[in-house]
Amino acid sequence: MSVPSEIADDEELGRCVVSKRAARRAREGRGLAKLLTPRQGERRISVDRLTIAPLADAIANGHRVAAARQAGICRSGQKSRDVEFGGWVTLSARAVRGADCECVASPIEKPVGPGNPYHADIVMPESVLEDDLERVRYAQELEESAGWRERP
Amino acid sequence: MEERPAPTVVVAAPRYSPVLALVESGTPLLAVDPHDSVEGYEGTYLPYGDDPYRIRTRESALSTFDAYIRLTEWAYSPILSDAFHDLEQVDEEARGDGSPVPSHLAHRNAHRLLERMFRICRVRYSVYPLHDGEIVIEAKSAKGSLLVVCRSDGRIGCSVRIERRSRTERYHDASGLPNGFMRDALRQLTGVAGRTG
Repeated sequence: MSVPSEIADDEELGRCVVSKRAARRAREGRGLAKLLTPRQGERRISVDRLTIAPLADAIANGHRVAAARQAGICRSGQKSRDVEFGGWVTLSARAVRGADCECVASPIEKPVGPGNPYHADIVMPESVLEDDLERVRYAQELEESAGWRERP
Repeated sequence: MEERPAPTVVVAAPRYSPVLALVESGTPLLAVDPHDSVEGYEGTYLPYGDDPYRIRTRESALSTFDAYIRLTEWAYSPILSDAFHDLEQVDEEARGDGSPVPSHLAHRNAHRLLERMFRICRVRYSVYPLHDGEIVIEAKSAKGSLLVVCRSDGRIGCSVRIERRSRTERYHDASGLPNGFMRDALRQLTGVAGRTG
């Protein structure tokens, strides 16, 4: 099946949560802003297109993200007991666009790891690059429409 | 008549958990600790402590103890203890995220702001690190949310979103905070007048 390059308004986008602590907060509707805030100097947040991704693929991707996080921590000589794929922070493409952010399909081709044709980015306006607090403000607006989907 | 030794009120302050004990002749008469870790103690908490506050009579010690409890009653709230516990976990969470650990200054500002915000508004505060050495204090209600960002360089940002309207303010340091902007936002979040402090 080919993956449409345009993201429909009613598509559900999901941000993998690979920390037990963050997942615990997210289940209670807390700490979502952190999960939707890009790093300083960046304005993209990686998400998966949960509406069109087969569930098994989305879950496998979540586990891969967790494994990559753990590998990164191991490189610094530690191991975290907190790392675990717990689920997704979800929001609709309509809500993202309603917050003046864009949704862009950004499939990851196979030569990079196993690939992820359902990968997309939420892209915040350029103003977040000039003003740190703007990142947080946009994340705060996004979290208003965000929900939690537990890993099956 | 044999003179009784003066009772002593001791305030021991482990990093984020104030402990108060009333001691007479080396015997603890009463101790309060939000985490109940003082049970059965024999004064071993003293290495944490501030200077003991000595009082002349047993009556004045008891009255000082009462006053202290009244003044600091907020400090014994389980929801504030939870927030302080979150704050203690921030460095570990940042390391787990692969992010820089927030500075001591960020911790100090977050601790101070949490205490003060709690006096204004007794809601549940979530505390967590962001990706670049910041500590976020989050207050939420059905009306919206307030995020205070304590940066490692000491600067503070505040982003408020209430009833779908966003406002932000930036501060060079934490002095004078929480200010009117934060106080108003906290009160709007809960829809109550709240306490001032």
